[in-house]
Amino acid sequence: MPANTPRGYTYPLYSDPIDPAAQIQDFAQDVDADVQGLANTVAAVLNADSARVSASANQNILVNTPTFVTWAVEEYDNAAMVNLGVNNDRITFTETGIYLVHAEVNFAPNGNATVGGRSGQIVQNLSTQTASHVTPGIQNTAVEWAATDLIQVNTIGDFVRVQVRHNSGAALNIDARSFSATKVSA
Amino acid sequence: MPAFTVNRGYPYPLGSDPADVPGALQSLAEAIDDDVCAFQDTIANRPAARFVGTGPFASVSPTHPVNSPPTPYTDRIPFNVEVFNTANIVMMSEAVGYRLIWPQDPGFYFAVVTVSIPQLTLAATTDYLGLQVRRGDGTNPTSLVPAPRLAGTSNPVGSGPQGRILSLGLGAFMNGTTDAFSVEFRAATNPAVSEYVIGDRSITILKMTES
Repeated sequence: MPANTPRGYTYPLYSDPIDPAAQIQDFAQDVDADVQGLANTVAAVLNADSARVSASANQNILVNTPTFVTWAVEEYDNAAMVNLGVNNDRITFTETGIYLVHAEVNFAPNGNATVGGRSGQIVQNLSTQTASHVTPGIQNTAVEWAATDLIQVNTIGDFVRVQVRHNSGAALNIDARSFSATKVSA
Repeated sequence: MPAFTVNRGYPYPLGSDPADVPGALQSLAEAIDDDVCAFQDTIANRPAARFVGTGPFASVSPTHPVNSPPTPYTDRIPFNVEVFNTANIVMMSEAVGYRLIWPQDPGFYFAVVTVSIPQLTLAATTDYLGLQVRRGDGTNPTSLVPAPRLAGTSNPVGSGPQGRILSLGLGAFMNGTTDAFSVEFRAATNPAVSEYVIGDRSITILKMTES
């Protein structure tokens, strides 16, 4: 009666009948299945859950009004993290883990003499703010806001959004913008 | 005539083969050894690369179209040193005129670009500094278009110190055939100057997926 190593590799005992070909085949197939399983696991890790969305059409942002950025183009999604037809403002995580998230938004100039600042933040779920910062505006020049952060996703279905705000003297548009997430750890 | 396992191709003898237990075990052991060694390499390293540009670089007036924001001075930033590269990414030579960082394999990549910008030494005030990453065409490296914008960051300098370090991260799919990272520096000064000198710069890239 052959025995098995902790990983399940079969080997004969001295009390077993001598049958080298079958015993070597059994062992080879056990190792084969084990290594292939590891290879599949590694391939899954190397294919990190990743998604990127973007948009270029104007989105109007009212004065002093925190507004979630909307997205129009699903550029990449290997883990069903984006469904713009259902929610066009978010990336929804389908696995738990640590994710590297980037967001950037171009604020178009509005020419208003009250220039104010331009700000944005990456928002996890309904309220948790992660990366955020404020940058001064320029009256007649666009301002590009960007942030990168690592976030922890504890629950499948958690999501991230990008929220922007400004305090210029009048409403302004955001145009070119992108948002991505990629899993870096379980 | 040995047979081979279905997944990894390890050899094993059949009952009809001549009895050669040491030889059969040696062949099997060596096949497993080779396979596990190759496998270990894939486990140990997520493909990654880092390129830097050293020394000053004078960014000249732009001649290529950019959409937003308007850019009085724009140019692609050159990189001249490959620090490490396990991701099969080509740093295109300065000889082709423009500086593209060209992944040779398709996949989703995360890149971080950092540029050091010393205080302007010319008689002008810096109003604005910016950095953009665009998707260039590695097969047409001297072409200025198309180069769609992938991400951007900017820094209105105002009356404070004019030196800055700009950093920008982004995730994007690159197709492994034409797509190349192109980093662009932007500045606006008053009065306008003919060139703007930047300092050391880097781009570090992680390959996040296999396709």
